[in-house]
Formats: sequence, structure tokens, C-alpha cells
Amino acid sequence: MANVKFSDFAVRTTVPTVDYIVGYQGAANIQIAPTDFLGDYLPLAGGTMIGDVVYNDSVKAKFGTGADSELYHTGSHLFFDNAIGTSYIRNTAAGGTGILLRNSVIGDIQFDNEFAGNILFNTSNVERMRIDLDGNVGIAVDNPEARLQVNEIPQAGGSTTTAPSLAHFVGSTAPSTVNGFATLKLEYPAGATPGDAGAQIMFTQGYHSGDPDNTQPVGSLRGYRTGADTQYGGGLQLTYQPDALPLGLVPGITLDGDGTVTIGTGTVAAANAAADDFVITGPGTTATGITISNTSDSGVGTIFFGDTTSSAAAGFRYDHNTGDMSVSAEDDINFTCDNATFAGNVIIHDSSNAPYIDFVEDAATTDSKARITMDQVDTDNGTLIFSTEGAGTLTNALTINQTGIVQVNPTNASTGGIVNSYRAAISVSTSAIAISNPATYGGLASVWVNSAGNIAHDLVSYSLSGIDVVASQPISGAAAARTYTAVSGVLKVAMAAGTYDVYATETRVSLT
Amino acid sequence: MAITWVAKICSGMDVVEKIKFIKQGIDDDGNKVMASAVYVPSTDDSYKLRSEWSASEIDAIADKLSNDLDEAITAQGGK
Repeated sequence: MANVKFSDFAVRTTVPTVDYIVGYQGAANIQIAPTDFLGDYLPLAGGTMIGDVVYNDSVKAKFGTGADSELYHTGSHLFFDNAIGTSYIRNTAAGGTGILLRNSVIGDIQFDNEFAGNILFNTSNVERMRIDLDGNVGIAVDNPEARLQVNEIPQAGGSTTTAPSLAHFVGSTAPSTVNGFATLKLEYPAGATPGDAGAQIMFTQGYHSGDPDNTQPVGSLRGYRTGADTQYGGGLQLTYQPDALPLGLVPGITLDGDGTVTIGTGTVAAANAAADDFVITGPGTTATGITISNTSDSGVGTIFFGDTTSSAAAGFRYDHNTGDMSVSAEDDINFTCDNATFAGNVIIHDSSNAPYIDFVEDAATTDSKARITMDQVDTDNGTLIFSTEGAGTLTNALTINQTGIVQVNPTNASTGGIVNSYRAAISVSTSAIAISNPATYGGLASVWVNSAGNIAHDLVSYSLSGIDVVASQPISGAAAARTYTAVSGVLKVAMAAGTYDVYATETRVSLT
Repeated sequence: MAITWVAKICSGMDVVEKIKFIKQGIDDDGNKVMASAVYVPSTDDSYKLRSEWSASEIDAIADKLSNDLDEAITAQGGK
């Protein structure tokens, strides 16, 4: 026990009822001796406590003249109540660890703003993050419009969104093309091997209408590595969950490191390597294709080919209104195919009024070997000219003029027009065999019969049932006798003996 | 009226160059329907004189092509 100096006590003529000495339990207004004190005493002004002060349950240590603050324990909970001004827990100690809020038993640490108000987090005496009264978390923004809003530049007040969203990232710096600023960066430190998938945003949706907690993946967007180890290169993959396959996302669209976009997972044949920027590969025998459509029967669908120097549009255009398809080019259009089939009309026009179709020997040259030309006579008349190359020059071989007259070899006066008709042999013996197609009226047939060099030639005029041999001449050997008949416009011949190869070329007259 | 033979004509100045056979029928409207056939002699017979062709020889040829002529007439409605 410490010594008590009586000089510490003043002589009082009256004893206030509120004055008392802590630890003294003797009678009032008597002279006291040090032995009257049971333990340490608390000086009323100044001094230092050198022992514990014990407050019983719910006994409060009160601060301030009006009990502005109270510190007490109920036996179950500790309370520090402040009724005036701001409550501070302030640390000014240098060299320490600052303020440590620690819970050393299992349980939560709660920041409970009981009424409508925010919870703020500051550094450098500046607000950095807050949880607002609606539960939205804002970083560098004091009015978050999303459950999580992150602003690059601190923003006070105002709305940055038109509708609430779950997460909102507001960048104020232009996105970097290298490993610099990004509004949102997803990083996957592994995956350096070509073909490796990287960081992923996965989309899941309800799997069972009766179980809202059961969601399954429907697709994702993920990084995709294509460059070799220690080399740059990569792109993105858009994955999907197939309808008919086991659970597991598979690549649907891949953008790789050379800018190629591939739909599906197939590879491109080497022969098509020059056209592999956009590839569609269907699985197995499934048909593939591209459809360009719109929601009405108007407008134009276009596949356009452009470059830095083209002055005219080249491409394919489909007019949804008329149904017309246009193929245009700045210069020639060349088709290379086994067969071309047109199920409708083919219209060829040219500003020269003499459009033509050229036939060339191969794709490496434009040297025409034959040409079909429409030569316009005037606005109401045109001719069709078939030209073939002879001695390096295209020559008019056949012309059909505007009145239907056919001119063979019209520009070669020395040879004139020659019409040859070749037909495979028909084997004829003593039974009558048809050697012509049916004519609706009749015809003139040039008939050549041959058996082992026994050859004769007959010029036969025939109608539906009538017939005559206009001329007949033996050619070589001793050709057998033959009989010609016409049955329903079909020319028949029967040999009197032997079997002959018969070649018939006929000009038929048909009624329109 | 049945289909009947109309003519068997040998053509040529001295030699027979061809022999024409003609048959005739009548259709339902009463019109004549005719059909013909032409026989071209063999090279060996190309210089055979008219007098050297016998009637039986010509009739034998006619018999062979008669059915074809009947068919041609029938196809046009003759009978």
C-alpha cells in the first residue's frame, strides 16, 4: 500500500455529499489514518493508476460531462457507446503496425451500419472504396450504380450507367495493344503451349426448370494460345455446349494468331490455304454454308471485295426485293469449274452492243479459240455469230441473222459453206430398221450402206408414209439391194442380203 | 375395203434403177391413204434390163415389204 500524505487533504468546513475517498470505508467526518484504506486509491485529479480498476457488469466508465461516451461490459458483450460527435479509433504511434482489428476466435468481423448509411474505406485520407446504403460496392466512385463498380479515375456523384448492372468497370485510358492498360484483364499464368486454352469467362444457365439452383455451362469466351513457347501469338475461342454430346464446352469459333477465324474445328486443305482467313468446317458429313439474310423482303445482301486501289465495287449482291443476284468485278470474271448449270435465263450484255462468250485453251491465257457473239444490227435486230480460230485468227464460221437465215462460213469465198453430219453406224440386215428419228412431215436422207467395202449411196426423200429414191449410185464393190419405207415419218431400210453398216444423215421437215 | 396394191413401178430408161411399190387404204372419212416403198437393186443388178425382171421376181420383193406398207397406212388411219 502506498503512503498517504495528509497534506493532500484540504481542511473543509463542510463536507459535500459527493466528495469521497476511493477505498476508505470508515465513518464520515473523522480523522482518518492510513490503516483505514483497504487498497490502492484513485486520486480525484491527475495521478497514475498502478493497479487494475474493475467494473462490475454493466458498470460504466463514462466520459464527458454529460456522459457523452460510455464503456462497459454487460457480462455478455462489450459496448463502447458514443452519443456526441464522431467516434475515432486513432493510432498516432510511429513504428507500430498501425491499427489491427483482430478476432482470435472463430467468428465474423462485422461492420454494421445499422441505419441507412455507407461504409467508407480511405487511404491517404481519401476515400477509395465504399459500400453504399443499397449494398453496391464502389471503388473510386462514391455513387456505384452496379453491385460492383470500379472506376479508373475517382468519380464523385453522378451516374455512369443507364441501368443497374452487376458489375461495371469504367476505364478512362485507351486500351493498350501490349500488356498495358485494360478495362478488365483476366490472366492465366500457365498455358504457354500452342493450342492451350487460357483465362475464361463462362456462361451458365438454368438446367432444370424445377431447380433454379441447377445451372450448367452453355458457352464461354476464353483465351487461346497459338504462338510457340517464348513467342507471341494467340487469339480467342468462343465455345459452346453441343446439344447432342456429353457435358463439356467445345470450340465453336476460333480466332488464331494469324487472324484466321474458324467456325468449327476442321482444317483447311492445302489447296485452299490462300483463302483460310474465314473458314467454316462442319463436323463429319454435316452440310456447311453461309446464309446472309434479313427480316424483310427488301434491301440488298452483299459480299464485297475491296482493296486500297479498287475504284469500282466488286462482289455479289442479292436484291431481296426483286430476287436478282448480281456478280460484279472491276475487270474480268473468270469461272473455273467442271460444269456450270444455269436453271434460268443467262443474260449477257455489254456497252459495245456486241457481247460475246469466249472459249480459251486454259486459264493462263485469254487467247480465244472460239467465240459466240451477238452483233446488234439496230435496236430491233441482231445476229448471232459463231467464230472459230484458224491460223491464229478468229473467223466467222456460222451466222444466224435477224431473219433466221443460217450462213455457213460466210466470209470465206474460196471454200464456201460446208455442212457435215456424222452419225454412228446402224447395223441393218434383211429386216427393216429405222434409220432416222421421227419427222412430223418428212425429210431428205443421205444414206450410206457399207458391208466389207461393198458400198452404195442413196438420196432418199420421205414423208409420213410415202417415199422415193431421188438418186442412187454404187460406190465400190457390189452392194446388196435394199428397200426403203417410211412409217409414221420414220425412214426404214432393209437389205436384201447380208448385214450392212448404214449411215444416214437426214434433213427433216417438221411442222411447228 | 382392204388395203390393196396400187402400183409396182420400175424406173429407168433401159435398166431398172429402182422399183417403187405403192399400196392404198381408206380412212374413216373415206380419204385415200397411200404408202410407198422403193427397192434399189443391187450393184450386180444395176444394169439389169427391164425385160430381164420377171413379174414373180418383183412380186417376191413386194411380198417382203407389204407388211411395212400396211403398217404405214394403218398408222395414218387407213385400213
